[in-house]
Amino acid sequence: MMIDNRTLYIYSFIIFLIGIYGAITNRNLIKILVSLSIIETALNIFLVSTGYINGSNPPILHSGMKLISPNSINISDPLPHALVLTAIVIGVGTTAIGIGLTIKLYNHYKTLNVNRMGDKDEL
Amino acid sequence: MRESDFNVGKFFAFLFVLILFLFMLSPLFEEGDGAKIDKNLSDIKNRVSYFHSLKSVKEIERILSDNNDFSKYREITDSAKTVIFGESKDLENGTANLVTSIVLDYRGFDTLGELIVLFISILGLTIILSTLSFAKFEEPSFLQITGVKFVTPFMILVGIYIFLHGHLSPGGGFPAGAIIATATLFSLIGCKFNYRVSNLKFIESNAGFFVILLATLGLYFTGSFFGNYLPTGIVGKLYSSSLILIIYSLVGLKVGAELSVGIKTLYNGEKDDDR
Repeated sequence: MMIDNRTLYIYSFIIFLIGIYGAITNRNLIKILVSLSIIETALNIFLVSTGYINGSNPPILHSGMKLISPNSINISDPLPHALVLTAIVIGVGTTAIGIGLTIKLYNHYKTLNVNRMGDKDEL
Repeated sequence: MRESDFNVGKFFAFLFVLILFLFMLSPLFEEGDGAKIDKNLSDIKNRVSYFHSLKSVKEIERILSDNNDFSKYREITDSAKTVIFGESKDLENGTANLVTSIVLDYRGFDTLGELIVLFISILGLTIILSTLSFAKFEEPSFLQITGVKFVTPFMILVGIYIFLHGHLSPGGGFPAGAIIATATLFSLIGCKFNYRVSNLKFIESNAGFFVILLATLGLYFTGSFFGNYLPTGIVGKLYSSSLILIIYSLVGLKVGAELSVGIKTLYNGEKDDDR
């Protein structure tokens, strides 16, 4: 089955907007973090799908495979894959920091609801 | 805030998301002069990574030194260079996985910055959580202890396999590090195996130091940072692309140790007995 690039873009937009909706409407900090992770995943899907070419192979040489210049390169573009690898690792780092700050805020306010966090005046 | 206000807010959020969706769709279907995605980009020959795939970046240097116009030379006909799996030797870098050759050779600075970002985030995590102590976890049951003791060595073995084959197959240092860190998480929760954080930090700091040392030696031997000065061998063999193999193994060790430190910090705070 051939998948158009455009279809993949639309799927990634939908996942991105699900993440945006979750980040807007939720009050729980953990749920907001999960929404941010969903947005990250959608962006990674978009970047990878920009490198996709219809009916192409993965950019890994296997036995019996040739890359001949300049006639036919039937692989998908390896550059977005490398960039997404970076993006995933940075996403892990930001998620770790976010979870740390969430733990700290929970210990301070004894709640995860964003709206109730400023209620205690004596803090 | 009352419940009815929240429902109104949800409606407006949905409306906002819908408008954003239509806005994002517009460049895909537009035909005018405005923002649209170029159809020619669906051909890899029109992209820069075409040269990365053929492992001949030096060709670009030659073109650029002759006459400074890169755009004319998208279709190179005089250099019929062929890369064959298992036969080609002494290429610019001998990795079969083209993503690895980009990550660790052509864009080595990118990976170095990535490592630094991960290091700083784990450092920030330990600083943020330095004054906290957490509730105790449940005592693991007999089944958990036995299962985790059986599974964990295999997980570490799979991690080592993946970072040793990073130049041949999908994966590499970062996924391998994640798998090793998952193994440490299992052994922490399942059988309360107490890692010494100082040992992990020793592994991490030394691996990072050797990555930078090997990259800097490239400056001495080839004149460029992250230059490949070891023999690259035949594409597809395990011992091909020696420098990339070594650096990816070090990256795997570093990431695994670093994420393990993060997990241990999240597990019982920085209040460690051996600190």
